Amino acid sequence: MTPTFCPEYDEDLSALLDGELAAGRAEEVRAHVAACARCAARLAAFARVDSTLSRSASAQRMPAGLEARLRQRILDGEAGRAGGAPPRERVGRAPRRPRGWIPWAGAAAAACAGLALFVLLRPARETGGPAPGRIAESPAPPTAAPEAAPPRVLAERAPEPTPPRVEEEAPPGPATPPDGELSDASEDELSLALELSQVGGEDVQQAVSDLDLIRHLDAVERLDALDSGNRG
Amino acid sequence: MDDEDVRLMLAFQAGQSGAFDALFRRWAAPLLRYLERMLGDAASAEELVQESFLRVFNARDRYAPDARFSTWLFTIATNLALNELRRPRRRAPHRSTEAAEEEGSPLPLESTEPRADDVVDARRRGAAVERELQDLPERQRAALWLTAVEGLSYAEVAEALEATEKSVKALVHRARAALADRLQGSE
Repeated sequence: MTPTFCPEYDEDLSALLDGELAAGRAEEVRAHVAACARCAARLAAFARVDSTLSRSASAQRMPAGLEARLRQRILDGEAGRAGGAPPRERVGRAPRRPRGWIPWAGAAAAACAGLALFVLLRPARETGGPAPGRIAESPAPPTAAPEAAPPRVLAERAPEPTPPRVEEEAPPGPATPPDGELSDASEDELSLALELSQVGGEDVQQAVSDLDLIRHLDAVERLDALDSGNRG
Repeated sequence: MDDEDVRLMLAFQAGQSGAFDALFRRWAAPLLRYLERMLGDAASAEELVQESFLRVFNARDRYAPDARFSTWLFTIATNLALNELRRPRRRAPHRSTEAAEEEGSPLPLESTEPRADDVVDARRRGAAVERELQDLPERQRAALWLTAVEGLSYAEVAEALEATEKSVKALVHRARAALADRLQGSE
């Protein structure tokens, strides 16, 4: 079967359409096309393929909502990445439970620094072991901060290892408030003392006395309970 | 590089999220029509459009303006499409334009122009070429579309297909010749 074009030019006819021929070769091909009806028809057929494809392409419409779906996927991906890597500063921090009294206690604590020191630094008494009362009842070391774990929804998307619990590696002993903060038990005690002290500056000593009384009563109750247990 | 897309990409890299939106609006449609031809499946094409832009989004910090943005984008899309084509097909096959015509339903590429004889002829010709395009080997299909419709150079297509420019020239020619023969046969 006789080809309907000149094989030695055919590939370059295509490249001519694409503007990919060097100037000299392009001139040569154009001159050939001008003199060869078969190659001129072939070049026109190639051009018609291109125009047909381009027309099809230009008639195409974008599906509705594609941009919104992409945006949602990006947001999902960003959220997943954010959930996979908890912020470093949160890792290992002690839990900080809600403390409604903190706003005013901050200022009051400064005013009552002496009282706080008195409450916190007083040595354990009576049993020779951990100090009785609320401080002794809460010796557990702080656990990993709940907010250090990825938020629940995000954790479902990209489960990650539990962040390190730095506090668990702390040596046993009296609970030392991290970062200079008070432990929860100390905070409770200070809170009580501060509440008692609100009645007036002159009643601070009375507040301390009340606190001592409470601690003493706590200790008595604990000793009674221990004694009852031993008898039982 | 004097390229509006590159400017937008650099702006996006600098934290202007609106630049990414602009890039999407400029390139989502061309990417979608390319991927539809590559995959023959509108749903998969749409999915890969999203995936392509998601990769652009995630790679924004690593982007370097040493090539046209469109070349980078089509390279990403081509890789995704070729990988998708190598997978066992799990979706319903693409419905042919001929079948769609026979059923009287709108064509996927339906024109909004008023119906006239020449438009109908053009549509028939377009449908014939589209069918033939689907039958071409995937690399020929990609090379022809990227060159003839999207205007990429042989060098850019070579980058997208991980081929030489000489190979691309041959791929484009073979694809164009096959479709030209098909068009001639349908007339």
